[in-house]
Amino acid sequence: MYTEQLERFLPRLLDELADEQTPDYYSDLFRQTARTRQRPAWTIRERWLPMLEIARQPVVAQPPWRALGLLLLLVGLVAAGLVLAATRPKPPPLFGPAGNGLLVMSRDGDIFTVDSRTGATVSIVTGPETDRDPIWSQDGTTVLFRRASVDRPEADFLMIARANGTGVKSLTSEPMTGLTASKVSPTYAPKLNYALSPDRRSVAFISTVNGIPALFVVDTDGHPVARLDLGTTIPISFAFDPIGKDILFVGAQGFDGSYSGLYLIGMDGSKPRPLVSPTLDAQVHSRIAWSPDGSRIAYARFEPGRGVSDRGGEAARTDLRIHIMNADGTDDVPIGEEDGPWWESPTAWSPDGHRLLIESSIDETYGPVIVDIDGHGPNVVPSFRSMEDWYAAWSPDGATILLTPGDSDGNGLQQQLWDSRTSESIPVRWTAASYPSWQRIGLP
Amino acid sequence: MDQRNLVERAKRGDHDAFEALAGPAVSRLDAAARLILRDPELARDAVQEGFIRAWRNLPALRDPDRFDAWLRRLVVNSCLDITRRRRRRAIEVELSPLDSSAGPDIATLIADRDVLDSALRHLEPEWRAIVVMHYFLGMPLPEVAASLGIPLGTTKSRLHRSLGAMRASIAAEETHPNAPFLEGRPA
Repeated sequence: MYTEQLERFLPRLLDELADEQTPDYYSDLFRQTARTRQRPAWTIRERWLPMLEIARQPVVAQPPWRALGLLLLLVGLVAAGLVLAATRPKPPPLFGPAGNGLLVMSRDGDIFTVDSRTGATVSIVTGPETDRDPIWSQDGTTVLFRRASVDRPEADFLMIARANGTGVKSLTSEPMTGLTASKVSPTYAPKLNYALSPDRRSVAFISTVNGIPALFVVDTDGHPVARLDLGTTIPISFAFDPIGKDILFVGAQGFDGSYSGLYLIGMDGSKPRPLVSPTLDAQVHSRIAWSPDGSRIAYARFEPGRGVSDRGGEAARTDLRIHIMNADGTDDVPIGEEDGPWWESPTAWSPDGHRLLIESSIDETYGPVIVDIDGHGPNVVPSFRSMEDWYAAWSPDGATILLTPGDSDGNGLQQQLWDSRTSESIPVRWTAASYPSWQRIGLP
Repeated sequence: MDQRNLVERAKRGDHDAFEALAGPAVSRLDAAARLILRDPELARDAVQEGFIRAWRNLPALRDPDRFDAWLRRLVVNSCLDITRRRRRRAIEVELSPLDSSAGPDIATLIADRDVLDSALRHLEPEWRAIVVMHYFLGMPLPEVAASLGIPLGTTKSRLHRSLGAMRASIAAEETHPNAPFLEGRPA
C-alpha cells in the first residue's frame, strides 16, 4: 500500500517541490551557447556512433578558481536563504491537516478576510462591482470568486486575486451563467460550481450553454476557456482530485438529473471513464467528496426504499445512502445503518481523512452530522438543527467546522463555530452572506 | 515551424533556431537539475553545460525527432558529472520493514514538502536522478537506463530501492498534534 501511495503521489509532489519557473539565467544561457562554436558534422567521430556516446562525453576539468567562486556564492546563497526562510511564511502541507489561516467571505458586494480567533476583518476586494462567494486555493495563496455582470444579472465573471486582494483579474472574457448549482438544477443542493485545481494553475467550472450545463477548464494565466467533451452526459457537480490531475463529476442523461452516474476525466479532457455507472433505480446524488489524500471518494446514491410494512405505515420511498470507495472505483461500500435515516449525503472529509461531515435526515430535519469513517468514535451532532440547506467548511486543522445554518425560508442565519468533537457551538462575531472557506497555512 | 525543420536549421548553425528548440525546455530541465543536485547554482551549471554540449554537438544528431530526449540526457548526465567531480558521500538510509499497524499516516507525512525534500536528499545522486528522470521528467525506464548507461534491470532495482529508502525516511517523521478548539463568545 505504501508503494502504491508514494508512486502515485510522486509526480505531483516533485512538481510542487521543483517549483518550475523560467530561471533568471535564461538569457545568459543562450548568450553562452551563441558564443560557442559548433563542431562541423564531419569532424565528430560520434556522428557515426550511437547518440549515447555524445551524451556521455567526458567533461573537461574546470580551472580551480571556479570552485572558489562557487564556494563563495554558495555561502552567500545559504545566508540569504536562512534570512528568507525566517521571514517567509511556511507553506501548508500539500494536503491533509494544516494551520488555520483566515476565512474569506463576501458581504454587500465586497470580499473580505476574517481572523476566526479575533473576529478582525480586512477588506481585500472592494469597489462598485458586486463580488460574491470567494473560496481559497488549496495552498492558501489565491482567492477565486464571482463578479456579477452589469449587463446580464443572471451571469457572473470568474475572478481571481492574490490573498491580499491584489492582482484581481477576470478568467473569462464573457460572463458565465450557472456558476451556482441552484441555477443549474433546482432539485440538487445549492453549491458553488467553480473551484481551483490543487496546483492553482487551473480553474474548472460548470456553466450553461444554451441552457445546458457543461464543464469547462481555464488556466489562471489567461489561456482560453476549454470545454471538456463529456459526450451526452450533463455535468451536475464536480470535484478536483486533491493530488492528481483528474476531475470527478456527477453526470446525468436528463436535465433534471435523472439517470446519473459518477465519472472521472482528465483536466485536459483525456481518459473519461465511469466509476459508478448510471442505473434507472439508483441515481447518484450531486454531493461528492474526495478524501484529502485523494485515495477515496464519498458519494451518495438513491436506492430502493422500504415498503409500507417496514416503515410503520409510511409510504415506500427511495433511500439516499452514502458510499465510500477507492479512487479507482473498487471496494465500493455503503456506510451508515440500514435502518438509519433515509437521507444521507456527504459534504466534506475532515482534513485527516478519518471523519466525514454529512447531511442526515435525523428526526426529519436535514442537518449536519460528523461520522467516524473508521468506526472509532460516536457520531457528533451539533446542538442546533437546521431545517433547510446549510453550508460548512472544516478548519484546516480539523478541530472546528464553520457552519452557516439556514432557516425554513432558505435564508442564512448567524454562522456558528462548531467543535468537531462535541455538539458545542458558538455564534461568530462577524456577518457574511457567502459559502464558508478557510485558508490553509503552514503548520505551527 | 515544426521541430524537424528547426533541428535541421540549428544543425547548420542557426542559433535562433536552436533557442526556439531548446528554450521551452529550460525551465523544466532547470527544475529537474535542482531536484537532482539539490543546489540551484550547481543546477545552473549543469543546465549550462548540457546546453553548451547540445549546441556544440548538434550537427552529430542523426535523428531530429530525438532532440528533446537527447537534450534531457545531456543535462542529466551533466548533473551526474558535477556530482562525481564533487565526490559527495551520500547518506544511505538503512531499509527496515515498516510496521503498518503503528506510526504516522504516510499520506499525511508525504504531504509535507520538507519531509519529501529530506527523503530525496537521503538518496545517492544517481538514485535520485533515476527518481527524477522517471517521475518528474516522465522518461520511460528503458530511456532512463540508456541515458545512464546501465542495464534496465539495474535501473529498476535502483528505483525500487530508492522508493524504499524514501519510504523509510518518510516513516521516520512524527505526526503533528491537533490544535485545540478556538475560543469565542459563549452562546
